[in-house]
Amino acid sequence: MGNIVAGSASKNGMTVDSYALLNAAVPAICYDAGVQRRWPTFTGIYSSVTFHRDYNVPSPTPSAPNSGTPVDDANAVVHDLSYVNQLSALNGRVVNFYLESDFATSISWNTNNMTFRPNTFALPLDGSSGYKYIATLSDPNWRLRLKSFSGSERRVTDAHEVMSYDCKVPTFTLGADGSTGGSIVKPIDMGAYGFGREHSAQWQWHFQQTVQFYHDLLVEFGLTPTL
Amino acid sequence: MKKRIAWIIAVLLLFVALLMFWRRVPDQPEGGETISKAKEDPTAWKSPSANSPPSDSGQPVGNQLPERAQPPVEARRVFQSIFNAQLSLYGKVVDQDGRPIAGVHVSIGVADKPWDSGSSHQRTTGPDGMFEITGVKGAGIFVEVEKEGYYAGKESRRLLQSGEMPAKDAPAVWKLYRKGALESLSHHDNTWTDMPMNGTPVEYDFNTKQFVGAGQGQLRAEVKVEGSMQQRFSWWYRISVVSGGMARRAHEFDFVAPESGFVEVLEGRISATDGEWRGAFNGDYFIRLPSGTFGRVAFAVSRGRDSFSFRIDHAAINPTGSRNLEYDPKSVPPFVPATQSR
Repeated sequence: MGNIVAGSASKNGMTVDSYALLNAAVPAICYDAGVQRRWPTFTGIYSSVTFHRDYNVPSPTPSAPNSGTPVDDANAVVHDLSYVNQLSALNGRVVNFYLESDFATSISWNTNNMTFRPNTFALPLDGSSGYKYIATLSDPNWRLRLKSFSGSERRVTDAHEVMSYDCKVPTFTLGADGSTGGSIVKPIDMGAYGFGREHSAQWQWHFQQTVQFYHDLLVEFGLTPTL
Repeated sequence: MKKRIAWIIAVLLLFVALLMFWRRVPDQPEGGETISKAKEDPTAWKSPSANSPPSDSGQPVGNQLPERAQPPVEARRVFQSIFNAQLSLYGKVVDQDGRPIAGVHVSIGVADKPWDSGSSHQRTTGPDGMFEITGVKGAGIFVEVEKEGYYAGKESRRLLQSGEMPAKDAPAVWKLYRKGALESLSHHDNTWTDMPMNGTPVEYDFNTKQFVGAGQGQLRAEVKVEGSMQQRFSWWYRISVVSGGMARRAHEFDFVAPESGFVEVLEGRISATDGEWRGAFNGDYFIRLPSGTFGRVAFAVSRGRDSFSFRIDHAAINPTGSRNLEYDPKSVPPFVPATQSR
């Protein structure tokens, strides 16, 4: 959440000298449109469940390219409502402290991305209401839509709403992808600190275990550590 | 009396359900972007009977069915099933030459819960460098290996998702790097300077450990920015070792500089319209200095808020002229204070 707030502030004019992202649970494609496209490769989810095309689970081979997300929509307006490049013009020195094996920003985030986007409402139980993205619709104005319980529908035209509810993401999070460029000037692998798969080791572990991380964080902020 | 209470409870439940439904249908935020330039309100609700929006029941795409969306209970079931996948992992630990390493400590974490890091397991590799874990359930397995006398880098830790589990006859490989002969090296850590953005060179002097003007140092950096730095911008960089050369290191534990293959200049241009645009160039190279000595340097030229900086993240020079650049970590203080030149 912190990186959404800080990124949004920067996008709206906040200027900083340095900005360190820690375990950023934000899609990497926000920061770098050229980042590697990746779908997670989980098993056991495709054989027993019928997916609607709106859910955009591409095929029984989950690594196959997915053309069913607004990220890849050929219509420029629909495409620009998605995550692509939303934070690629951050100012300042932006450093990505990432951890590829972080359970929260890799496994759990990807699972949520695959199963709950676009977001369907709890009622009615058949899943007919909620957010939808229909890539094949000839009218781009209605590709992103919200259907209510009563069956009435409206278009979804706000990027924040699209990103929150209506957009499956074909990349990993920034916090789990050290190859992200764009506005990121330097990746730092927190696996080198021995953080393993822990999501917030720097906050939860003893200082003796995290001292090298804090030393490097201060250095990236242009400060002189006296640790 | 009981019938009356039941009716009251039923009405209350219905009221709560309706309330939940209303809360889950957000109104369109104000000021949202409009897709169409048509005069109609793009955010207006359309009823299914009158002036209907385009139907979403078109042709199937691939193997997906068009009839209806996935019910939320199904989504929850899928979510849970991902964390219940049956997993078996077979792995092997090798050194940089591909030889198996016995007696390696293997830390294993199984992602069997979405809300924490999951269960932990330990293994030790056998004489053939192999280890395995079977009969666990989860969305993936994280493995990290270590052994005294070896460097553990990026290839010593890895997360495999449930769809990436290797077969027994083709185990996944983790790599450790055997430590070699240590040398006493001159170190340079965490030092940087702001730099002109008009192509004027800045140099780093490995003798004085200072950033200096052109012609006074050995490692030179030049940057030229085209236009404003407010958004994406085009820029150009050039890194060089004056009367020397640079050769890319193969990996983080590549300590022996090559005899040949050095280039004097690294340069590139990043266009504002480049799909892979970035605001920095980071390098990790062997260097051959004019004096004939060798070193290795991790450096960066990178954008800041309104300027560029030239950074030496780490450098090590062997003053003896040897190409071996593997340093004795005990000869270096654990934390080297950062310094800045302006």
